[in-house]
Order: sequence, then structure tokens, then C-alpha cells
Amino acid sequence: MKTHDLIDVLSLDDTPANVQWMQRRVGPAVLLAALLCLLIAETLWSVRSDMQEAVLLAAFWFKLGFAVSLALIAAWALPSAARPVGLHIQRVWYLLLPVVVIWVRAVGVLLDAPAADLPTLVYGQTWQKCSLLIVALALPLLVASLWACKEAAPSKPRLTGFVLGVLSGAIAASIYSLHCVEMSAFFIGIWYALGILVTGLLGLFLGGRVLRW
Amino acid sequence: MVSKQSTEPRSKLEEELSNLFLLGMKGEKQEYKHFLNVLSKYLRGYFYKKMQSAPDFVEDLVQEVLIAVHNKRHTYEPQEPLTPWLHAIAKYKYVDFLRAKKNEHLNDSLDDSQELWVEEIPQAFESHTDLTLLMSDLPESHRVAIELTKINGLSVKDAAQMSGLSESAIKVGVHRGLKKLATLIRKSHENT
Repeated sequence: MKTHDLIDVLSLDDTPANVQWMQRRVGPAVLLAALLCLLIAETLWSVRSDMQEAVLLAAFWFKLGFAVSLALIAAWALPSAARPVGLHIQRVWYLLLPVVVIWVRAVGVLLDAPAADLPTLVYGQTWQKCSLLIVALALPLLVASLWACKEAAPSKPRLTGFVLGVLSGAIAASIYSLHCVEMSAFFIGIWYALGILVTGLLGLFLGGRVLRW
Repeated sequence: MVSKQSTEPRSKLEEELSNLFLLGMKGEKQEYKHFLNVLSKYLRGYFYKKMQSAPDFVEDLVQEVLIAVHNKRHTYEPQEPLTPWLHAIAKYKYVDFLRAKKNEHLNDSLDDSQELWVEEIPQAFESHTDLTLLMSDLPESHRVAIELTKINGLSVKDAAQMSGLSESAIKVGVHRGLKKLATLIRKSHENT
């Protein structure tokens, strides 16, 4: 086919462009998947029984804040990453901010605590399953968000996949944090962060395959 | 000196192209066609310069980028300049093409300086992979819709009459066919 003819065909396809696809497609897909994850988590573990006391503790809010802020930053970076130009692609670096904050907090706690407490602070009671459960809980979110971004045109598909993975992992971690009794900033900074990072890497791997266009 | 000379016409080009493109997005077919025509000339100049060792792929890439620009037009944000968005698509397709070919000597230099807008070549080259060939892998209704509309830009109404399909079937056929065609083009790079 001649380029000239192709242009004729293209100019005849006047199906309205799907503007606001971020808000209309990616947003609802992620919200629905998050709801599903909340249901799964609620069915499997149910919200921690001492929630009323927990909400009075700063440590609880550091934990929830860590996960929620990572999700918000990823969502903020996503529209740039998922488009051809990516004007604000450097926003991805802000993902490091919550990690730094939680580690500063962890070191602060350590200075006040006897050194013998360190293993308890790091391992808690559930370190063996924490990261794994976050990754597992994030899978529906990752699948939904990758599907929703199929129409995107990222010039860096793997980076976009990574942002989607962190978004999914962080939402899953936010939900998981309501059901998990660990409170130490060390625990969050290691095992929560690891779960989110693994989901991010999974997204990176899948993005390089699914999001190419 | 050179950069000063080239920024002035570029901003004029930005204005011209984004006007045409935005009108096209509102359904003005002539303006959209004009936009695609201007873009195709710059694309040809850009890819010709980049791929002097394989000029028979130039027209393929021009066509691939035109389809990509069309299929991904929803990812353009109207408050942002259009030319960098177009350049990003052209560059991505070029890099993707090189990756599929794994052909290092095709690669001259990867630019960030919007080389796309340097030179226009109005006359088309021979394409290496004919789109018509790839189209044989499309579902029948999509293929027919595209075949018919490409004949002198036959209107949707005329195409519907000639084929006995409904007008909406033609529209859907063209729309979905173009999406599938983009995938087929990418696969063809990996196989040839």
C-alpha cells in the first residue's frame, strides 16, 4: 500500500480518540482491583483486632503512611511514564522518599532501644511471610493495571511496568498493613519494602513484554 | 547560529501541525489528512538520514509511525507541545525497529534534539514490506473495510454501498483493522 493511500485510510477512521483514558480506564481498573484485594485480605485475615488502640500509635501511621505514600507517588508518576514523551519521568525518583523516611524513623527508634531488641525489631513475628503475602496480594492489581495500560504508548515500557508494579505492591501493602500486627519501622523498611520492590521488578519484567507497542 | 536558525521555523511548524492535528481530532478529515501528509514528509527525511544503509526500510517506518501516531492519538495532552510528542513516537519506533533487526550498523546516532524536523522528503520510496501483504492476515471484514476506503479515499458511505456492509461495520473494521495492523507490522520486523 502506498503511503498516500494509507493516509486516506487513517483520515477516514474518525472513531473519537479515547481522551482521558488515564482517568476512565486505568483509574477504575486499579480501584476495582484494589477493592478485590481488600475483600481477599478481609476474608483471609480480617482486620487486626486491636485496631482501636493501634490508630493511637505513631508507628501504625508510619506503616500505613509508608505504603500509601508510595502508591500515591507511583500514581503521580504514571501518566508521564505511560506516554510517549514522558516530560516528568524524573518523578519516579520520588519513590525513594518514603523509603528514606521510614529508615530515618527506624534508626531513631534504634537509638532509643537497647541493642538486644534489634532482632525483634527486624524480624518481628511474621517476617517469613510478610513480603510474600504482599506480592501475592498485589498480583490482581498488577494484572489489572497492565491490562488497563495496554493502550498506553510508553517510550520506556519496562520503567512503566516498574511504576505499575510499585503502584500495585504499595496498594497491596496498604491493605495488608491493616491486617498485620507488626509495628517496627525496621520491619516495614525491610519486609514491606522488599514485597513492593519485588512486585515492581515483576512489573518491569512484564512491562517489557506487554507494554511494547 | 545553526540552532537559532532552526528554532524559529520549528515553532512555526509546531503551530501549524498542532492546529491541523487538533482540528483533525475534532473530526475535520481534510485537516487531519493534511497533517499526516506534512508529517510523512518529515518522517521520510528523518528515517532516510538515519538509515542510509537500508533505504528500502524508510517507507516502512514512515507508514508504521503514521499508524502509531493515529492509534495512540489519545496519549497526546492538548496543553503540551505536539512536535516533541511526535518526535518521541518516531524515535521509539526507530529504536524498536533496530532492536528487532539487531542490526547495529543501521544505528547512526540516537538523538534527543528533535532531528525529525530537519528535512522534508515529499516523494515516497518503495516500501520493503508491503502493507497489503500484511493485511492478508487481518480478519476478512477488517481487511475489506481498509481495502475499500483506501481506493481514492472512498467515503465510508460509498464503501458500505460497494461491500454491502453497514456503515458502522466499515468504521469498526477500519478502526480495529488499524490496531491489528500495528501489531502485524511489529511482528513482521522480527521475522524478516
